[in-house]
Amino acid sequence: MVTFFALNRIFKRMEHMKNVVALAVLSTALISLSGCSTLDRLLKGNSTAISEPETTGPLAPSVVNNTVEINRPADRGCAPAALTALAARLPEAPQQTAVTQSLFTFATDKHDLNSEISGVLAAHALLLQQNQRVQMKITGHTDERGTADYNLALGERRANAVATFLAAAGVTPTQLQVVSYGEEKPVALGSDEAAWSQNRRVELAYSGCE
Amino acid sequence: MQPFFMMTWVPMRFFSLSVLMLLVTLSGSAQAMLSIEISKALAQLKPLAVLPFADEDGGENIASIVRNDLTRGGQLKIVAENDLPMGLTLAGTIHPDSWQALPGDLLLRGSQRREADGKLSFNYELLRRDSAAPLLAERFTVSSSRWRDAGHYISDRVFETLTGEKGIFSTRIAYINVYERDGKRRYRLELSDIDGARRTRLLDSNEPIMSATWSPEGRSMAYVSFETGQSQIYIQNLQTRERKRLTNFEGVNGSPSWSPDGKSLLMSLSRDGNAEIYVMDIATQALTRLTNNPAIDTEPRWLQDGQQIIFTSDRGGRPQLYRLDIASGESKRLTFEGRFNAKAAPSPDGRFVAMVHDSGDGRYRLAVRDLNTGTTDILSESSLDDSPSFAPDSRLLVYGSRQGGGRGLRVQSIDGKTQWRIPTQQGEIKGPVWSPFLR
Repeated sequence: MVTFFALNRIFKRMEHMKNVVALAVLSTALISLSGCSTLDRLLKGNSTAISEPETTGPLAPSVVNNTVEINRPADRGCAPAALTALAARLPEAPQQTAVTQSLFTFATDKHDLNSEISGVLAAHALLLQQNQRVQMKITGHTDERGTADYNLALGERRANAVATFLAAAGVTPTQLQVVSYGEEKPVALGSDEAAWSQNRRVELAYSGCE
Repeated sequence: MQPFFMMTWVPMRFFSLSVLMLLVTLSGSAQAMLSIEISKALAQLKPLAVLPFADEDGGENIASIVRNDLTRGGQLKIVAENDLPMGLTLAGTIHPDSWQALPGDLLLRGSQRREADGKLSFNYELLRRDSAAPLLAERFTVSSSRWRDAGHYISDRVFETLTGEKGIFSTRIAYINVYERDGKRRYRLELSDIDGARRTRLLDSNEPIMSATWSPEGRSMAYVSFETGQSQIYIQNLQTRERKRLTNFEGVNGSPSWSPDGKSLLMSLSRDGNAEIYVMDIATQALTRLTNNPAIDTEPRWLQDGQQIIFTSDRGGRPQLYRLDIASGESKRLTFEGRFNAKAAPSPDGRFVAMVHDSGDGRYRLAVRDLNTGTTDILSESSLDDSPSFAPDSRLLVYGSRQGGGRGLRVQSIDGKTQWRIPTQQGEIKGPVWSPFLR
């Protein structure tokens, strides 16, 4: 009887609360009688003895904090004088000028080579064929839009287009190395078409000229 | 759920009697359901007031860590620090008048004490108005260097008590920091707490680092590093800091992604001419090829069942998400809305996949697709989002976003109700990945 009246008092006060909550209050009294352990944990509290939170594993600040530092030396390219000397042996003056151009830009999502680029690349192809020990690193790049991983593959499409052209023009494939940097090495910072158009590019780098 | 709704139509006088009878007949599973309902109901009560802990040391109070955590976690209403009544020191039994002064039905109070040996001991309890018994009460001791861990631990415990779900407050976020040193660009793989504190550097390089990913138990990371002069995939043990290079192939070596059992890595390799999806057994480094077409196939992610993969492919002309069934080897297109969908991030519970989406207006925004219903919601209002990553609660997402003149990290709940920025630091911050549960 006492329980019943107590419950009634509780309900008069709880009249405006949601039924589920009212049920919660009621069940505090009732479930503790029946000893439901799930609710015991929630409602009776858990004043355990001194305990330490489980370790956060390898990331606790006390763990080894040594940063691995990488410093890759810059690629040893051809000295400008050495490259000029090689270029001088090309038959025509326009070809000698053409091989000084080592950067080509592309339209959004495009990797095709227009006639201007093809003309320049033809001169590079000739220089490589004349100098079999010279190497060329062809790097492909994108602007920052989209996703970094997809752009890594997209940059490779551009670099491959150049490498394919050179190989088709007679260059020995082992003279060529193709690397994509995706969006990771922009030359222009900024988030507008002016910067993006500069970053959508392929760059050529000679080595082994000496 | 039927019995609960019956209650509404029964006159008050009989309410308690019928409930009494009902509860006596409840089965075990119904009682479990009861506790979840009560948890949710507790969470829906008026806000939780987190009081400053009694602390002789002074300095930053651990309650601010707990308050910020629980505010950011969503799902709970937390009384703002400014709205807490001044000078409320609630030791011992709380007088009803003190409860009156509090704008909430839930209260967290506690104390922090420095022991003779330098350790910190914490004592806290979670109380509800009109109930003598605390909902949660605990005491523990930690070394003083783990003060922030203690705060996040309390947040986790309070959150779990009130919602029935595991808290994410002790998890970490890894990301890439692109910064300048001596006028040259450098790249750094870092970890921090979810509030941006305790930045730890794993790798600092003058060549790009990208595509970081956590192992399922949180002990290792895989990532792409250009330190040899081209992209290669490495794994690194977070405790010993030991590194191992896994790939040695020409072309692009990218997008590593761990299997649920931790034994293999998906990756995108262009060694055979164009980017295809492979799976590598980490122990033997044996490779199995999964896709075969002239398009770019990249950004592979396992679904939790370990039977299917979601990846990005432009085989249809533009990047879209595809789902590949490992057993049959068949791929089916998953996304049809918009002109760009990439960088799939499946939620740990298997219900959702987040992605970077361009609906056609040239903006790259965070979107989430419900894998059951097929509906896709755009979650962000920016224009250059990348790298979405789910928290282990399958509710919060971290992603990289253009902010001001630079790049930083934002967190958003998939229901759109909670969002915040991870406090910034020097450099361009991108490529975030949320750790699994670490405890």
